[in-house]
Amino acid sequence: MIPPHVSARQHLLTLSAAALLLGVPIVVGIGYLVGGAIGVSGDADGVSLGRVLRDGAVWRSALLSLWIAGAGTSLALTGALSIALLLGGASKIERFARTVVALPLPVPNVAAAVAVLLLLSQSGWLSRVAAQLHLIATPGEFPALVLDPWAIGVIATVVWKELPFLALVAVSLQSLRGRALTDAARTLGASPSQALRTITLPLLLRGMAPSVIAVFVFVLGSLELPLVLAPSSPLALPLLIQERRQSLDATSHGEAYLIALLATGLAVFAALVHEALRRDEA
Amino acid sequence: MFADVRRVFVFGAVCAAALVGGCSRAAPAAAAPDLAKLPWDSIVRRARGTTVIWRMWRGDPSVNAFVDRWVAPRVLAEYGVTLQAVSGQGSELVDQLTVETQSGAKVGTASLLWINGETFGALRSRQLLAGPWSGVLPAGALVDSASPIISRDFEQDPGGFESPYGTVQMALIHDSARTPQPPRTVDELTHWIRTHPGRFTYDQSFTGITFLKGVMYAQNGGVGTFAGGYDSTTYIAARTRLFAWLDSLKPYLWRKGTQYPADVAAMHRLFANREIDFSLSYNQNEAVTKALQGVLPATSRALVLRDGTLANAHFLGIPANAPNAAGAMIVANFLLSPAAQLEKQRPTVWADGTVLDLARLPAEWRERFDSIVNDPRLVSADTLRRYARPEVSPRYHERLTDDWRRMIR
Repeated sequence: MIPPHVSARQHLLTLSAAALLLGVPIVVGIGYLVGGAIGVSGDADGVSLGRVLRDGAVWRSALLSLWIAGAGTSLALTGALSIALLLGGASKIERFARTVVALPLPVPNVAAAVAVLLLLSQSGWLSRVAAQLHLIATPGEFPALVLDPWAIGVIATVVWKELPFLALVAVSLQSLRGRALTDAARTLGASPSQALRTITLPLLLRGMAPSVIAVFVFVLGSLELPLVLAPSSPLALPLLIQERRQSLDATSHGEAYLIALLATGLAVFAALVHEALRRDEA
Repeated sequence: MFADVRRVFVFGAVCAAALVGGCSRAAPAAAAPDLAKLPWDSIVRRARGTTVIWRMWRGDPSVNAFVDRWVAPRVLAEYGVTLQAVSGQGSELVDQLTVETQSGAKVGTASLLWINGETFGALRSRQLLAGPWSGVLPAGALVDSASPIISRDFEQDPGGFESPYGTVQMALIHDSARTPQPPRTVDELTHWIRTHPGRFTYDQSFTGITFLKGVMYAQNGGVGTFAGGYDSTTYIAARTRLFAWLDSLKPYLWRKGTQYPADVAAMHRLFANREIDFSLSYNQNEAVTKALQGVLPATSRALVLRDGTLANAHFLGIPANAPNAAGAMIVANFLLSPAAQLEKQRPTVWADGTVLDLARLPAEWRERFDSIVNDPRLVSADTLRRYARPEVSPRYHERLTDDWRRMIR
């Protein structure tokens, strides 16, 4: 909707400027990837799409990255919703608890990854405590929680880093609209579980959808966490792209660009799913 | 038409990067091969008051400190050359120079590069290196030119297009307190791995692949079998044997060979934390350097396998589009000086091996080098020399890296 004091022409200009500012870097980036994949930018040789699509390593990497992003985002979302519902009030204890939850927000990803490595590796702090308690005799007996095939260490770090962001959004939504509508439903006779199921959760989930998609896409393309914590086989998608880009073989560079395009496609697909859901609701 | 599109793409990319690095179409300064025809004094005069950007591996704080805090102040004081080291290695160097050249920019950003092996080969084949120029360096007369490790770079003739400045040799690192009787040959190592399940691994980066390459050479009659350029038949037969060995050992490796550490730093961490009993290094002295820094246990020691361990030299190259070839030659010459080579070799500094022929040095300098080399914590110079094997065609490394990622990892 155009604000009443702004003319249609001014509005169009503002929109165009914003689109230019936001869109140009993305279009140039994607253009460069396309150029690299077909061998006209950088020093890459053109590469066949079929060869990359037949490469099992690419699909295994994509699945691992989707698993990390999917599981990490889901767990962080569950935690954020729990915090909004259980600790969303105005009491001192609840405010203090929310402050503690928000603490990891400014921690850089690399620092978070190293902290989790020190905590969860087979010679980390937890392992040493287990050894002190005579639960294990050697580091190898401690379960592999980092550089592990299920990427537990990476997912734990994603949850630790992204839960505060999603919790802030959830608490804000709950205090702005959720509580009032839930109270209204209760007043009209809904049981607590009915109000939660039919009013509170749908409202929070709908409001949080853009943030959840943003977290999912960010984690999907994140390099730092997998670099320190993820398994070596399969490689997370960003690491596979980096490995092929750093090869001295120019054909591998083309593959790297093409795989980066596929990763971009996954991210765009997630955004489109969100838009489709929003349209359906409208 | 494709070439035009490519130029537009590349020039656009370079100009975008030029917000930081400069997008110049200015005429280049005197090229290295032209300078090499001048008297050294003239090169020194031209270099005074200039800046040299050195694109190099910046992954080790000890190396960075040597360059930033020891070399840079001295070349500035003695020659008036400001040295700025920036990050860049391997394929990054090739990419950067390729993009600069394709954009039509006559002058690039870096004047000096840390290169060797496959990077040297890639840069030479794309005609991105200047030369010949290294023959004009006065300190080059002290270089151990008889050493096959220094006079060839992965079997390639440097041809004056690069100047050596350090040597390294592949070594296993063990804790002499924890493993007082370590294996000394590939066969002994195989037996050790089988009898100590979960205590050995190798990393998936350059060093780990170099370790595997050494084993491959040892299993197939030594490095001589692979000399004289890449041969696909020889490689396939050797790879089959190596991968059969790896398959047989997989259940006994750390994490049963399902995961591999990312790099040497990850290996060192696992070793220091007692998750594994051996680390790797492509620097025979790193065990002592890292122990002095507290990264590894104080009782860490290096060992070289008696089947032979690979050794190579690292070099300095000057890009064909270098903005300051004269300054780069001054820095390359300074790094060959006995003072710089000695400082670089100290275990408390970097512990990088010298490229100088100590017999050509005055007695006082020889004594100083001897005092370092004779450190009982280090592998003796005789042992290193006896088991050192030169690198062969870089193609073997490239193929083994690709195949290991595809078939073993």
